[in-house]
Amino acid sequence: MSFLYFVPATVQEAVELLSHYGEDAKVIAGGTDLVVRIRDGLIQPAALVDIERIPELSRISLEDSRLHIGATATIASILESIEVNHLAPVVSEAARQMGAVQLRNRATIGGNLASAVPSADMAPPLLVLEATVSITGPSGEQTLPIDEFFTGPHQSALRPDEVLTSIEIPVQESGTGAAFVKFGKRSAQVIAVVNAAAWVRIRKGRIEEARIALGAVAPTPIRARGAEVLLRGQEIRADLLEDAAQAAAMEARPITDFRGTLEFRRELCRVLVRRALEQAVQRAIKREQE
Amino acid sequence: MKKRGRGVAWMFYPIGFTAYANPSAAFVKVNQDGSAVVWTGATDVGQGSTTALAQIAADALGIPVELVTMVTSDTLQTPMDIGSVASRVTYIAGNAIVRACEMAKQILFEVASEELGIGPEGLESRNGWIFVRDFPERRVRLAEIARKAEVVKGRPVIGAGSYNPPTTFLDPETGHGKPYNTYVYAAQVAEVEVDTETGEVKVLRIAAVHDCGRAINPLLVEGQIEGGVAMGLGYALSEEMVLQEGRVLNTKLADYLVPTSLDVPPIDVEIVEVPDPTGPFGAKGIGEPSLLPTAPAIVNAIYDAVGVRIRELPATPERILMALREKEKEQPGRSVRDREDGRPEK
Repeated sequence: MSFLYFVPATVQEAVELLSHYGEDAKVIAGGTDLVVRIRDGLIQPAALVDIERIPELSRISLEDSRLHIGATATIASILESIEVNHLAPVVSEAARQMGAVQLRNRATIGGNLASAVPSADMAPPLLVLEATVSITGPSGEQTLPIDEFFTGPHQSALRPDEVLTSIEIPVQESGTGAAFVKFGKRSAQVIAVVNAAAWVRIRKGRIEEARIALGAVAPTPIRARGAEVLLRGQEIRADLLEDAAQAAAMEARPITDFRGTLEFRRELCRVLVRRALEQAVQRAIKREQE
Repeated sequence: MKKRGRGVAWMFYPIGFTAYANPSAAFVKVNQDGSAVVWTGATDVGQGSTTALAQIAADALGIPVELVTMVTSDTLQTPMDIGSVASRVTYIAGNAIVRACEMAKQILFEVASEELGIGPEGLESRNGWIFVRDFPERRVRLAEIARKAEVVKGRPVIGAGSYNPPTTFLDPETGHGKPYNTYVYAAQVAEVEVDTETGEVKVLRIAAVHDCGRAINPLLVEGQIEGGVAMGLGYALSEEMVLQEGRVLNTKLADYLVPTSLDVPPIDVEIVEVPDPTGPFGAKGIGEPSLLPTAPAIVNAIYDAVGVRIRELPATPERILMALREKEKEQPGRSVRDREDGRPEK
């Protein structure tokens, strides 16, 4: 294999390179997904555009009541970030369960999303937090809700001449809580059989709003909107959470592969969504009391 | 719900196969400064056999281990050993080295007997000294004798030895016979926690008690047992080649799941030393035996925890969950656990 390798200093320069090489170019950051795909012969890029040396792309900061996470922030740096841990702990919770130490030191949050694999661990928490992603292309910057970003396995809204630059997460109000749960077949360095995140906003024992996301059970990470509707405005009861989890499992469209059968994945959806909801509710109650 | 259980498994494992030839040979040379070089075909693939074999040579010659140089697994220089297989290296190559050292020591003792005024059969060597067994204060430096033997007597202090336990063959009709020279024994206990909703098993602790004859190097034996338990854990719970029409689907270590350091529980190792008269200084072996009881102990612990028998390894979450569902179908309304001993549910 051979390819040209560019290290642009600015996003502008990166976009120019991508515009020039078009479909033949790939953006690289940590390389933990891309290099494996190149080595397996699944893709043969003519040029790699390395965006890791663009300083502002790895920044994590609080800006106008939105938590800004640069696309090349590594999973390790997200774990170490006080801002993320404080303002979006469910993102830290997912980061902690991704890969293993060596991988977390290299892998970036932007790469995890841009690879657009159905099992991406960072996707469910960002889906339930209704994060947005910023994308820069030849015609400038645009912002997209994250649930419009994933379009299929290894397919996203990113065009070949565009760079994913950051993720923005709205700062959470009081009375909200979220949780991420992953089921893998060992304790670390493993692709999820199913992963799930839940977010709730509660007031006086009632769920005002709920959001549920699932990974590895459809061509893209998905929201389980039918199950969310079941929860909205309802009083918190154990059987309600179970019913919603059941509904979410029916919204999943899993397949059978060597990690698990369709039936097992659907069953895991139910258990994981219920556990995520239970934890999210507990955390929301705790935050409401603070 | 999470339920805990404990399981035990025993095993015996054969050391030194005799159904067909099982040879190893060694050379040894004692230098004029009292150091020694050992040539063996035995191959250390990380298990530490070169260290253990150097310790055996040192004790067989009666010199400190730091004076032993090992030349191993070089087909140009070293005699043959059939391989690091069948947990045989310490036992078979160790016996060959003891015999090579006995031959070299005989030369040393014959030369020393003139100085010490007693026949070679009355002598012993330890820690760089040759001494009269019954009067240990009558002694001479081994290095001095080695130099005298080579320079004055013209007798280089060399030895060659081999070991091949008597080949007995097996009855071709029945397969009966004496297939091995000796055996090791072990028991392991596993404590697990089973998630009854996902089928996930977390191994909390393993206790591993192993007989290996004399433990030549207890720390290496402990390392072998810990490594074996980790392998047994993967065998029990996660390592599986998934085939589709003869093709392996999970062709990478990202998908063929060997336990990580986070999956391996605390392991309590205990070595039971029962010296075997046929082994070098009583040693037998420890490599493969260490992983054998782990999987059955874990599967028994799963049964103790949730009452289902898993008969196909690995005991994956999906298999356990399916077994739990089957059990519930058979006994509707009853909990997944139905203790036979009448003790209350955990």
